[in-house]
Amino acid sequence: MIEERPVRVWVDDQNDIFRLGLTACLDAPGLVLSGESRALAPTPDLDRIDILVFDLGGGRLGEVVRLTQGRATRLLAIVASASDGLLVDAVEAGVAGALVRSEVTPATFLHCLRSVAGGNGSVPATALASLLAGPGAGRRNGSTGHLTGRELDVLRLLSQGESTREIAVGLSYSEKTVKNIVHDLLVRMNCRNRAQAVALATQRGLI
Amino acid sequence: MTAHRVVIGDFGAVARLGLLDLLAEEGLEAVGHAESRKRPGIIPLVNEVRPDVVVLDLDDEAALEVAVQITSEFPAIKVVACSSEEPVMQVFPPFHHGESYLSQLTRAHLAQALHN
Repeated sequence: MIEERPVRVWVDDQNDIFRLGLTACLDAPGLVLSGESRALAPTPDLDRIDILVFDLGGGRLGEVVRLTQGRATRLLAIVASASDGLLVDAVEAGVAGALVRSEVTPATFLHCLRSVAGGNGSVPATALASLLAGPGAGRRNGSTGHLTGRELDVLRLLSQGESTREIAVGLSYSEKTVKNIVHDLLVRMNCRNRAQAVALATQRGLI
Repeated sequence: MTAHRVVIGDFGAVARLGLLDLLAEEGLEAVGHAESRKRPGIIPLVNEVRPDVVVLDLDDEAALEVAVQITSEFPAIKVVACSSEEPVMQVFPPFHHGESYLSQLTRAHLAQALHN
């Protein structure tokens, strides 16, 4: 059997606690931490990196893409939300994997790293629709096409004037989940705030 | 001096792992963490285990309210609310009646806040 070299991973994130959690996950077979940085300082040593994990919210997509241009280094982005418009830009720029910051677990992180190392892509399933629809998808004005059941539930409760906490209690979600759902809704419907989303959904007879 | 006993609030899995790692390296004892989706449970948990420090998720919009509640019901407990997005934390020192200060969140700063 051929002994395979472990996959060398560099982790960049400005939040020390989150980064510490990610690096702790790398204590796993076939993976090795080659280094870590905060806001790309110190500069990742690309000669010794197979996968660069970075924070897409840090505004460093351009810098990361420039750094890794012409290299075999693959990119894995940590995103704030699966419907983040930046994710489409990132995938277009060659980012192979993405994980949502508040949802990532050690298991999903390792799974994503191994997919990316194997030459496959790995993005949150909830992001696929907008990615497959191509550039600018989901950013069209007032699209209400693909709301999920739970997004509609949240919209309905929003229209009744309920707060995030009341909705969380009513639907047995955590407040964080409700906030994520609302954020996804607003992005998907291209609305500026909850009121506009409720108005648009009412106007279209969705709720 | 005995090691500080720490209760951890409802964090995402990776941030929680990072916190537990830090506590272990610093010789601090994790004496409980709030189950996700059951956050009202943190006050009874704190009441039950009486930790020295409670670490809350600053990204949770109820975090500051919970912090003030803990510091007013249990004045001897310190609360540290950490973001797992921005490098920022908010520290509620013991016996300060809910007063707090914002600080840069680094591994070293957090370790210091947890020890003192």
